[in-house]
Amino acid sequence: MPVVDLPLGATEDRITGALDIERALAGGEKKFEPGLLARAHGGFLYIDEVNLLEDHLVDLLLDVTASGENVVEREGFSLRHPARFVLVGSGNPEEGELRPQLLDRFGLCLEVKTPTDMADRIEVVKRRDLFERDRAAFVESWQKEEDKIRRRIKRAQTMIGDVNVPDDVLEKAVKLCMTLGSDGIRGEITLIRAARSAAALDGAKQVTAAHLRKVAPLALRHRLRRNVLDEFDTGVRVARALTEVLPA
Amino acid sequence: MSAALAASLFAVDPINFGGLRLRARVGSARELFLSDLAALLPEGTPLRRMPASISEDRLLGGLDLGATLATGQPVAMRGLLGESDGGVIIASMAERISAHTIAHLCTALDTGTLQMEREGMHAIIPARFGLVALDEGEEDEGLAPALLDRLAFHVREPDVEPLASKSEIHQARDLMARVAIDPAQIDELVSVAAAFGIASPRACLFALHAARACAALNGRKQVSAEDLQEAARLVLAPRATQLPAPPEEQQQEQEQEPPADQPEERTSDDQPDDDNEINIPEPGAESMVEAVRAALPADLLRKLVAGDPAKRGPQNGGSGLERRTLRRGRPAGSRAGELSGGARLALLDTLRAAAPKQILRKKLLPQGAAHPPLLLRKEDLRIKRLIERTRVATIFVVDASGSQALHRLGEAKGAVQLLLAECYVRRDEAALISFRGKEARLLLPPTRSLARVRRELAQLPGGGGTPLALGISMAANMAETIRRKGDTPVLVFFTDGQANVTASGVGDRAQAETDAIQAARQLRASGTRCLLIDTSPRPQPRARKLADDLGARYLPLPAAQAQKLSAAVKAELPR
Repeated sequence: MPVVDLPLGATEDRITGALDIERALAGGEKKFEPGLLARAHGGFLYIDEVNLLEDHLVDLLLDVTASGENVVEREGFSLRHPARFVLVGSGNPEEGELRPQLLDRFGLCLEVKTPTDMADRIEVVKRRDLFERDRAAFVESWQKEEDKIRRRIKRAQTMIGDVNVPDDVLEKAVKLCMTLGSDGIRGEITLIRAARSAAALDGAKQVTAAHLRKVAPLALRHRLRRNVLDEFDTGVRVARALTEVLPA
Repeated sequence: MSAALAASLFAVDPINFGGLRLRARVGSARELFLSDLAALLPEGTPLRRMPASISEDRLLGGLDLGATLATGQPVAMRGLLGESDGGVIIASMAERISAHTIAHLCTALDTGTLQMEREGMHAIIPARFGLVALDEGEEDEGLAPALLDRLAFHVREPDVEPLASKSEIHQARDLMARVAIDPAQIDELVSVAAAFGIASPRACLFALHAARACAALNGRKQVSAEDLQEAARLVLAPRATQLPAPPEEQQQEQEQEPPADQPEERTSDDQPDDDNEINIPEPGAESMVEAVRAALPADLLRKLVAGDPAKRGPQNGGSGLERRTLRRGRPAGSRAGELSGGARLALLDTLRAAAPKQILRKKLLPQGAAHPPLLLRKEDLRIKRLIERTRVATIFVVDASGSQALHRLGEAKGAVQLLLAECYVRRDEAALISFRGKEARLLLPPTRSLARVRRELAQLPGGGGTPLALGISMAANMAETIRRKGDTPVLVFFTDGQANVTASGVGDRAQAETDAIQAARQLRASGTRCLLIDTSPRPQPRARKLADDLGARYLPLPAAQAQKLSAAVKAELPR
């Protein structure tokens, strides 16, 4: 499965694909050279510092993620190719907000914070130090653990089609979204989809309220209306709505 | 002596230390320090100077204009990051580096590579380097926190102490990889970092590395307590955001102390810990705590004792940077055109346009005629399109009706003053509209003279009905005019949303409300950025509803203290 990086400095021609300039100049041959979108098809497209991406490139991505297809109309080319991929972005919101339209394209949203537990911090420093001093040995030592996770995901992938969402869980999901006032119904759909994945990961055939609780902050925190006066981040608002709608 | 030791350690392993921030004025002391440092690097180490204004082409690489035209084939040109692989980059005026350049530097520092996806080229280029950031910023400006976090050493003033000798450094380089550290020493280091309120795990890793380098510099294969102290002094002390509580008072302190310090001052990956537990350093770490405490610069120590935030990221200050990025155009593709008026050639697009026609053009030449490898015609030329940041004009729309005059007009005026200060900093324009009685009035068209806005505002009388629809329509018209000039309008409404005069100036509450909603929705359709500040004594559902109809951010005035208000407006302004 391809995992393609889209670096910040990328130019439009490398993203959408363009005329293969070398061939064109050498032999006058008109050949299309596919770009990053073509390479990412069927896999992942990762953008670090996605909030700093140039506006005209964001527009391009918005278009492609909506249609699942890259339409090229340039340099005498008129062609289209499928470009369906999982969009993964990371960035520090303090350096610039993501445009709401683009934010909406992400199914899940995760907030990463520095660990506050002392033992965790020591562990992080030690592992990173080991990694820096001998990468190969470090990777080797975690191989088994990684394989285990991979197998778990594989198993979940095969059974996800059979995971059932009971009506009462669906109702709770809708109620949660209504309480939070999330825009549209994309929130509900993503929430259910994520809860089903969580159940499959657990090897469960039924989605429960516990699964819903686990994934709600991921699926909903970026779908709430921003309120300048609200001191709390949106994750806290989701947590509050959870205790209201889905008491543990 | 800390600057000299930091520079020596950095010279041992520039790449893994990320870099060194040197906060100093231009002068012979700084230049001497830099040339001493350069002399310690191995022969042939790339050493590049990077200006703050470096373009993306030069930083990342692109097409080589001269070579490409000469050969008729695309020829790649390395960027500064690639050229500096294995060496050191010296960035002058680092506090002025643009956000994009910072992001590129951070990515390269994190991954050691540069992924090129530019102008028809695709390549992964090694880019491992150490960065010396020369920071000449004043107190309230400074290097971007994300970059600062990735530089091991933060040095204030170069000192006159000599650096380690070349042979010592050379020996340390060889020994470095074999220096052992006791796991308990790592625990100590992490606990000391936590006690001083240092959230970033990178700081601990750098300190660890510095302790190793220190041992290696002294010819030892095992990190000693002294090495740890030196490392803590050099790497941790400049990052301290709080002082550790003395052990005997710990219990009490924990009860009174508010969680660390003000979280809004921090970047998100620099969150303070609410967990007071971290205030207790590991046993055996006291000497390190003392070393760090002793190394705290006097002014930093004073701030920490006073409970002030020690570090202010430039995200709120740094107005110079903001202004600069505001005015500078960002690339947005290319278009056919002539090279005049300072337009820049989009080389690749020009070549692309010319390429398909080469064979035909060569055929049309007289048989055997000499010709350049590439036959360019004027119609092939493509120029870079830049998006120029437009000027922002903030339109203040003030409800001066009777209900307003009673309670809030004075406060609203005060709030406008605050926002004007913000406009002034950004060199934006401001305009003033008021509505009361039967009409809306344009008190001042968009102007840079903020003093005039202030004067008009001071003379603004209050009283009468509330022709909300008229106020909104006038604001919408003005926004349209501003947009046609190519500038960006931002509307700030001060009202309680209680309309009672219709669009035709007649007193009729029900109709007035309908008219206001209609005007608001029309304005919303234009996509103008709006902010509504609810001036009623208690937040009103009606004002909130109006904000929704406008597509505006809603902010009730009672809660809208100075800072929040200007932060909210800032958030509405285009970056």
